[in-house]
Amino acid sequence: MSDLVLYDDELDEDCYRARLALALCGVTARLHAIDVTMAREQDASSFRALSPAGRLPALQGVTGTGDLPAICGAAAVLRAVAVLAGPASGWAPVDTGEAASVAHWLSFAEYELAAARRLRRLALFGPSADDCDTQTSTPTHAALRVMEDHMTLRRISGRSWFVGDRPTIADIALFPSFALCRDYGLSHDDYPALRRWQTCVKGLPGFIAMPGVPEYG
Amino acid sequence: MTEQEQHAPEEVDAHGWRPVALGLDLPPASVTGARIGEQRLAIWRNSHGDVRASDDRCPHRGMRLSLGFVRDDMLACLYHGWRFDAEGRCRTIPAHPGLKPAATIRTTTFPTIESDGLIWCRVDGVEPPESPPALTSPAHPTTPVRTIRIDAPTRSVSRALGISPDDRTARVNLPIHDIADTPDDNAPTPSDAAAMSAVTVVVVQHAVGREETRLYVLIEGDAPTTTIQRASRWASSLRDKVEREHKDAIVVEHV
Repeated sequence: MSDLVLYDDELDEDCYRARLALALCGVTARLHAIDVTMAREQDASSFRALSPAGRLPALQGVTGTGDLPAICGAAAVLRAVAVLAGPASGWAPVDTGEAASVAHWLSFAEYELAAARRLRRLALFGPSADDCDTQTSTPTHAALRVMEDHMTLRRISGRSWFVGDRPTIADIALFPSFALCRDYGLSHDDYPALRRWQTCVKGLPGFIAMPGVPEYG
Repeated sequence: MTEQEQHAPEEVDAHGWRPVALGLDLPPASVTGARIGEQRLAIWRNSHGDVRASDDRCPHRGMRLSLGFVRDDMLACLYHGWRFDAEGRCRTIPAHPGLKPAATIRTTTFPTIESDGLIWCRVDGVEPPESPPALTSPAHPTTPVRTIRIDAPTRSVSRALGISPDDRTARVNLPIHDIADTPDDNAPTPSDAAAMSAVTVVVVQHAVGREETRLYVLIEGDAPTTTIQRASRWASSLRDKVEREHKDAIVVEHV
């Protein structure tokens, strides 16, 4: 019997990645809310014992086969969830080439889209200590363009997903940054290929939304 | 260049039929935003494929309708679900299911036409007396490639395409390799001229703002997947080149 806990902040983009992965891959976890506002629970010693850098999301618990050590950060949680879902779920990579392409896009989501996450946090919650005061949308725009160019070529060859012929955790890792870009004033209108892909993601069985991501459209 | 000339493209662009989307980028039962001059538009398609254009503003709370969705062949607002029909009349207010909305609750609509793979709209109030510009002869249907945004004024794009700023459509001969799987654009040119051919890429440009141009890229006639992808990559390089040159030009102006 597995019993997993996801340490979660509902409005955080990376935590949405983790919740979406759990929902789409059909892995059940209890949500434990971490108050990152006034209480700053991410800095509490009890949470730092799990996630030494205070990083969200974090996943921990017991799986069918043993204890799951604490896993911190969206990319790590996504990989863990795909493994936990098992090969029959269709979410684990099927071959080496696909695994490598998925790794490529997971890395893109972590580095190139970091600008998108910063921009959204700044727009919604105001500046924090690690924000310089000259934030622009240029790096975010550039990252979304790379995704748009890729998905345009994919659309032309009749494909719907970033890698292979079915959705992978690469799609889950990339989806929130595009879906939430209206939070900081970028429009979906400039990215028709990403909008088409977004509709496919929203149509997946088990899809869940978050504030800022409408279920429709 | 005088200041007046810099303003000119925007004003000119608001007249006549203007391209607002590639047909394939607007699947059935979906909506997208567009802009012609100062007019913001919600362009939407019903489940039967018909395209409509509406002022991009819900008369209820001013929400942009292009952020909404299409349900039951009506354009629905994301905020409170008010639904507008093809003529812009409000038909449903979910908070008052028993109420038949007054005929005065409506959005302004604009004429649209879909031809040559493009959706055209006009907001100048002129009764549509003529058709949008034909891009190709009827014997040569177009193959749509993609929509691409360039962060530069239309005049910079025109210069790169080698057309006059008043010409909104450019035709570019793009050499293609007949060997299907040589996607590398910089591959050495085969010495055998017979192995090379060209496609005509049709580029329709639309000024979205002073510093923003949207290009609709199509191919004249039928084209295999590899050629369409080649044209898509060509458009990406054109965008990068135009933006780089525009940025450099700004730097020079300020030195």
